[in-house]
Amino acid sequence: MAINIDTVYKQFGALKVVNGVSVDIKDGEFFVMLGPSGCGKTTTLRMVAGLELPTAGRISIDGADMTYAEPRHRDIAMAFQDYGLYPNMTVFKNIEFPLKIRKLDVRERARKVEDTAEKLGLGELLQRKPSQLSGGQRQRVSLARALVRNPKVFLMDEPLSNLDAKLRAVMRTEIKKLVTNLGITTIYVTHDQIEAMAMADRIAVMSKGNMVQVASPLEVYDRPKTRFVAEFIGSPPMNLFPAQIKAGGTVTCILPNFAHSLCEEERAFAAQIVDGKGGLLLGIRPEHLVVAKAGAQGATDALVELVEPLGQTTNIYVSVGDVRFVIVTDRTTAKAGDTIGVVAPSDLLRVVANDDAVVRH
Amino acid sequence: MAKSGIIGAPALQLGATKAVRAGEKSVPTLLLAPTMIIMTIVGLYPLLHSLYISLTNYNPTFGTSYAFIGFANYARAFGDGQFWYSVGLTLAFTAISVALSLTLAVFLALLFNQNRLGFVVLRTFLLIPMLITPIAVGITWRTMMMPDLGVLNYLLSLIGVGHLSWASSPSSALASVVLVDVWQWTPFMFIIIFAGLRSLPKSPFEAAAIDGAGHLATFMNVTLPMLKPVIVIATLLRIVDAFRTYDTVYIITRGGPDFATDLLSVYLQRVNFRIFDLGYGSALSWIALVIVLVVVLVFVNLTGFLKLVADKENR
Repeated sequence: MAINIDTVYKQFGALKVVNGVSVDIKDGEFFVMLGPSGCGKTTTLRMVAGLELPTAGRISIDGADMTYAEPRHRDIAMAFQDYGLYPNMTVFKNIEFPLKIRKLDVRERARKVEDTAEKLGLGELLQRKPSQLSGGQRQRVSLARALVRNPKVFLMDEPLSNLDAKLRAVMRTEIKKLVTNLGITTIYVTHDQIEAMAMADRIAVMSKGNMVQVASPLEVYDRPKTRFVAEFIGSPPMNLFPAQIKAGGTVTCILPNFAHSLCEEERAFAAQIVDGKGGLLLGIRPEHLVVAKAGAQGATDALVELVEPLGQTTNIYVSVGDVRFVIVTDRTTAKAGDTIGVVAPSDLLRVVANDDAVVRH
Repeated sequence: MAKSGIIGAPALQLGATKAVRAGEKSVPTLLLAPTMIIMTIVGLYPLLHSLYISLTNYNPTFGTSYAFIGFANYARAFGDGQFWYSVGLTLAFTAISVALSLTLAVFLALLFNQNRLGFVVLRTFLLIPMLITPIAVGITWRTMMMPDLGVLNYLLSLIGVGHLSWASSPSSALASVVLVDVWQWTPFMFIIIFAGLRSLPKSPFEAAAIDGAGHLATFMNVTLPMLKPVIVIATLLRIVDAFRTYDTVYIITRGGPDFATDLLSVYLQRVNFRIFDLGYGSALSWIALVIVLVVVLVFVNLTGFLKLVADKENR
């Protein structure tokens, strides 16, 4: 079911946690809210769940106003970061509970519980109590209790945060498969950009209670709108270089060659950015920079400071005067102290707004 | 260089001798010794002495000499109808009083768990009965329950309820002392259960709300099971306490009228300190102790208390 969040605010006393978030989530969409701790993503999710009430704004699910409805009247299922398991019940009873409340037939319940538990690798643990499980196992029980139902909306609050890296990758795929098969709208909260990139139909990057950019994973990666998004997504993050736009639309950059390679589309975007002083940033992903011979035509000469061979890729940390950035490339013969040429391909060089800039549409 | 720790024990140091390390072990023993000695003098010795007395016909009103009579006092107790009547009455008193105060306490704890305006102040008032000296409680209630002069009957008359005889009639005396006991000790259970309720994790309740559970389903499936360890402990303490109820009942009814409130403690007091039949009284006290132990053991087993404790430790 479609979810509509309309200029929602949340304040705890003087603390403003969510500052007028608006977004339309489509029926069946896998929507990820991504951001660092304290950005308001969990609070936004809890307001959709009805566990917190907005200070202002409106939330509707499937067209019906649910802003102040009790959680149990919203027909949602939720996986909790801190599990929220019933300590007195076995794993089986925990997963069964929402079905029991809905008075499903006992045999039907058992079938569904066993089915879901099997998919999440909990088959062996059904008779255990939560206190006898590891953090990762508890988290999967919490997930199973959400997935056992057929709700209007799935809400997941960092449901994989306590799993080890390997299991996290497996579960990521499993959740995505399950949810896509069911076709149920899902809001997923995480601070893990890889999780967000891998699972989302759309990502909302959040910072300080705002949704800074809402777009498909690749668009967020390729065309980050602001400095925050550019630096938050990607590892190592996007290289950003201070730049200026002059009256008449001329863009200058601390690395002049980069300003020259900027394409028309990006120049047009630069003209829309208003931050008073005409300041903006040119950005390029480390893996998009091309290493050339020192002094080559159109290349900027840079001094190699450090080379990190990671096997699959190599990080080359370079400097041009005071400006430091990183290049990700295949294997290289360059070593610290060498001078290399760096080229920014014009179709991959982006204009990025400063965080306080206003973008004119 | 520090040669000794803050409590006079030798500090750990390189090259410490075997004797020094052995000395550390004696520190706990030394620290515990005063308590152990005092407990032996005021606790263990009287207990064992009363066990010895219970095997004699000691009665100070007949002089200081007495004879060892074996288990005759215990044999006599088994034929003592008044004693077993008191035991039955005490069990009934305990069961009714504890059940009522437990129900009330849980209800109050749930009520006060909502953060309403003024609840903090009201909560403090609620604790007052527990803080009053039992003697004062007894005198106050005895006065309030006087059939002709008491304020209770006056208040009841205002709403058209007729004359109640309260503690002065055999048929209503037990109910009256139960009422006072519940009034005085519900706060005690309330404060324990309320603290337990407050310390429960929030997320299972949120999960229950999401899972669609209403108030009753949440209470039965989430609140009550999570509160169980606390409820069991509060109930256990109350059972032991109710079993030895003496002062308020003695003040209000002195066990009467017509033995209607002749609780075990009241009967024991009469045998031991009115008749001074100390040999027999000691035997009765020991039987009472065994009964309390049995009641507690049955309760502990029924509630799986030891398993609850073990579960907690495993967490």
